[in-house]
Amino acid sequence: MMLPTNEQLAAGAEKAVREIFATQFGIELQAVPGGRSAVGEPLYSHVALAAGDIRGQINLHVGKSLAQSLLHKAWGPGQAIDAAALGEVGLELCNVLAGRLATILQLPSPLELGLPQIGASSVVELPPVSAARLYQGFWQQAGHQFQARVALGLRAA
Amino acid sequence: MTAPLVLNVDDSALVRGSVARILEDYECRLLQAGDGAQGLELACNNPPDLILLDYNMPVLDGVGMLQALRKNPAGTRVKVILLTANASPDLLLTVARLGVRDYLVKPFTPEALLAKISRQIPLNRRAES
Repeated sequence: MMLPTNEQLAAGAEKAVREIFATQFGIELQAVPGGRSAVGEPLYSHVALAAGDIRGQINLHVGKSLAQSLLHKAWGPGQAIDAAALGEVGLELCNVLAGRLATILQLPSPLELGLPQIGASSVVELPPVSAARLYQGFWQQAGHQFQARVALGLRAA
Repeated sequence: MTAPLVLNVDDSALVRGSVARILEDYECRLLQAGDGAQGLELACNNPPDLILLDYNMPVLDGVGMLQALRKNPAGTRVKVILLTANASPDLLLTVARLGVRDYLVKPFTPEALLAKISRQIPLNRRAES
């Protein structure tokens, strides 16, 4: 089984991120080359995926202001937004990004996605793998920050 | 004529709110559940005309809910559209065998969701008040 190259992973992840924000929220994110981890009130989330012998994890940081903006777009103005709802934005983005990325990269079926979790940091932790591909991307939109880290590897024998 | 009853089962509040907003201009009654167990209970107690069903959920996932629903006399013929981030052919085959009428891969636009729903149930815009 072939792992995508780092270049294929990067291209696939960027395509997936752009498609998700454009389709679901009508937002065009701007890539921030060489961006740095956001500061302030980070909302981290992560999800594990398995496809054939490929194991992976996606770790997202959704800026609080971006999460609020996305909820307003999805729910309409005037809806009450609490801390739990803000955290759920990252969980759903993890889920959708994992699925879209698997399709774009043509990962083998069946695809198994874990339940997305809220995390305390942006550290990506893979299970034991024999090779690893890593991608990290930073985006912003109207001052709102978004960061994605994706790691894929082959399950260790 | 009673407006059709739609049950949306999704663990994401983001998605539940989105679906509610998309359907607010249409003549339908909407029930929401946050996992498959809640969805199953609602569907068996008050069989909907259509279920919008997520796959990846805690407690009971979409396939588990479907399997249980089809064993219940109230749920053998309920129409279901799968809304899923996971477009794995294996999953789509599994749910097709459980009588899922259609599926929509996340992310989706409001127009795509409305098109899928209107193929399964009558969906009319609410009269302007």
